[in-house]
Amino acid sequence: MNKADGQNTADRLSAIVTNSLDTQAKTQDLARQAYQSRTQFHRLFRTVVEETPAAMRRRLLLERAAYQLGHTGTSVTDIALDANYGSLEAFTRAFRKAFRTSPSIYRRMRDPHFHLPASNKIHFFAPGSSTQGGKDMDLFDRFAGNDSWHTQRLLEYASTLTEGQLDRPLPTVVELLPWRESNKTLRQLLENIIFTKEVWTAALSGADMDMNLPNRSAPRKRCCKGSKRRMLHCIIFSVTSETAPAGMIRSSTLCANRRRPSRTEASSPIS
Amino acid sequence: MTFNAHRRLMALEALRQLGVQTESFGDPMEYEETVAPWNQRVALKMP
Repeated sequence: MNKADGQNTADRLSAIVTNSLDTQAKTQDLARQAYQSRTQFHRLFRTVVEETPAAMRRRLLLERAAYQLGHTGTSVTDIALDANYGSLEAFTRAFRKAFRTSPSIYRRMRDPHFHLPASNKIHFFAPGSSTQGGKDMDLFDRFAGNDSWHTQRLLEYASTLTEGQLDRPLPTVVELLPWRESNKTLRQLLENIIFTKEVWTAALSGADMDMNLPNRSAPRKRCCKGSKRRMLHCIIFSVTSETAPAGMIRSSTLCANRRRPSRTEASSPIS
Repeated sequence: MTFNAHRRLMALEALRQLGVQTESFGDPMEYEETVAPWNQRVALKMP
């Protein structure tokens, strides 16, 4: 079987499974649709799709359930039944095993990701979305999250340095805004990164800026101030989210609309 | 964010010159992996 034939076979067999999500079909029924015996279907499917028909069907149903949890108001019980689970307990158990969190918590997280790892790259796609790649990615959210994450990592690196190293003049400096800030040392550079975030956070949330920060704060202390950086990500997400009216932004309501912080962000700050 | 990206690169270069191991820093795949649902340690409350 050449590569093109293999791909065609994989597409044809996987289509049988993806089209069976709303039925109570067993592997034997699926094999019949492929005009093959159960054993032959199972063997061929596993060879070309790299997953068994039953495992793929279970995974796609869980991905669909995760999408429904995150994007619809359907009750968890209805979603469980829709995913062909006989009871809420069985669904919760399977969901927790796959996504490492319970369905109710997943819903509260408002996680935009609902794909599980699969080597064959065959996933459930949301209604109206393209199968040629995700088009529902919130780029602002990604950029802001990535920015906060990188800043956190930089501060973690810098917290291993001595005071002298932090205040050592940088050999090559390209001043971005020379009339407003100085970036002659690593400490000043990090301070300016954080200061920019604090200004935007205060501007977007309407909160007061804390102008009493020490000028020579250490990266360790700045790590403790990580909430400000994460709050900016939180605010940007809320502004771009349809669920949060931009004119009603308050810091207390921001987090309810924000998706989960990353693992790094969620970890305890360095003290 | 654009200016901060530039500042981050300068800070990274300064860290490198001070002997800090910064290999693989900035790889977007690393960030994507941390926010993927199967790598999440659930944190419901934001500070």
